[in-house]
Amino acid sequence: MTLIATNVLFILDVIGVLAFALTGLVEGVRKGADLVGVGFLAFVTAFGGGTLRDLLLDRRPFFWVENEFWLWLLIGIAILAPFVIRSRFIELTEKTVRWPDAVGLGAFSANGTLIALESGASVLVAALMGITTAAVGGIIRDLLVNQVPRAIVDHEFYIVIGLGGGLLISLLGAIGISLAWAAVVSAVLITVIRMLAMTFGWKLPGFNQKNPAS
Amino acid sequence: MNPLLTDTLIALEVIGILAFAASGMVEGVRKGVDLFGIGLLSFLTAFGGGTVRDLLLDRRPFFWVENEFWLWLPLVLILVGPFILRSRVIEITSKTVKWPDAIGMGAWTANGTLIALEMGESPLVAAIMGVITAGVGGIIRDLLLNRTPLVIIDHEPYLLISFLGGLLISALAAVGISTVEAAIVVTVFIFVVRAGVILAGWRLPSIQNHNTLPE
Repeated sequence: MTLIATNVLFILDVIGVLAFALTGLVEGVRKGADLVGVGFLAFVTAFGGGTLRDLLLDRRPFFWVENEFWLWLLIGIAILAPFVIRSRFIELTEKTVRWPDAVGLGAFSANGTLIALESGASVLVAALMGITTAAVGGIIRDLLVNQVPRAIVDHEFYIVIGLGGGLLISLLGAIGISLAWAAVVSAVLITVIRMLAMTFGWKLPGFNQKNPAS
Repeated sequence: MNPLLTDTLIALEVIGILAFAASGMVEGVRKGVDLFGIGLLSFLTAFGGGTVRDLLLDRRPFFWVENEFWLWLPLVLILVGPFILRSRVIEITSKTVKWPDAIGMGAWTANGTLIALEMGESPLVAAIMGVITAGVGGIIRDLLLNRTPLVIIDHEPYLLISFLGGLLISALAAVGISTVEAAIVVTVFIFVVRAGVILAGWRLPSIQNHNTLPE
């Protein structure tokens, strides 16, 4: 792996872990979890997707086992967060979860796809690994707080964007751009499109039936 | 691995499996699940955590494949347990679930941490593996029953005790106590602290923000 690819992967990892940890924290506080529960949610949201990707690709050691720094970082965040979040000035609305989640979606999709490509996976498999990395953390988070995963129900281009971004990396790679830069472009694009979709309410069509469950 | 350590791990596994299977069974009976549902709940509660640990540590065969006998343990419990619980004399409260759970939690934490340490993981990673071994079974049980996992929401120290217990094993090992003795000390330590939590009602502070949603 080239040096630049390693650096890009690392930076995407940092961004993704921080963004998803933040969503886990906010969601925990919103749902009234205790101090440790909030830290646990942050941990699972940040590492869930990447760990499943590593399991699927049979990649060891996990990135958080290799660099224990990640664990200390999250423990630190979990200890400090309550003091920040208690403040009256911070509004914890649905948006507080979805905006960092969009950033994490871009970073982890690109990161997961790039890792899978580097380990020799095909274009489609790599894109699937990208979306696994990006979506599974959030899905586990939503399951744990007893909510239907946003990735499935929010209709605002979640998995589609992640998958498209993953394919884009391979496409850019095919026309001669280095994979590392392709990943950066794709990460930014995914995040921007997701944010636009949320801002303007672009919706995917739902399968509306005459008598939906709710 | 020395034979004494292997025996300790096996003893902890048996205790953990029986205790968690019992907690899954009681919870199933409380929620009015049918007999097979009760079986599924107690199996997943008993084997879920250890299986995820084995997956994460890349440890094969899984502990219940290696010792196939383990699979029979909950089976006996499931066939006998519900009929005992049916009796009018026994009242099943939410506390009833917590006692077997407290025993299993100590055993699984010690077991998971020890296995990770034996495989050369660092103390921090080993403690996290202990927490996963002890916590994931109950989380799966709660998810199947469609509720927010108690470990996250009920404000009783659970994961924290397990995590500290795991670190304690490494600390005891560092001062020269054998891992086997450390594991036994920690199993008892976790049970005692958890019993204190159940009896005295110790609570973790919550992080309230004015945006916290009502229950």
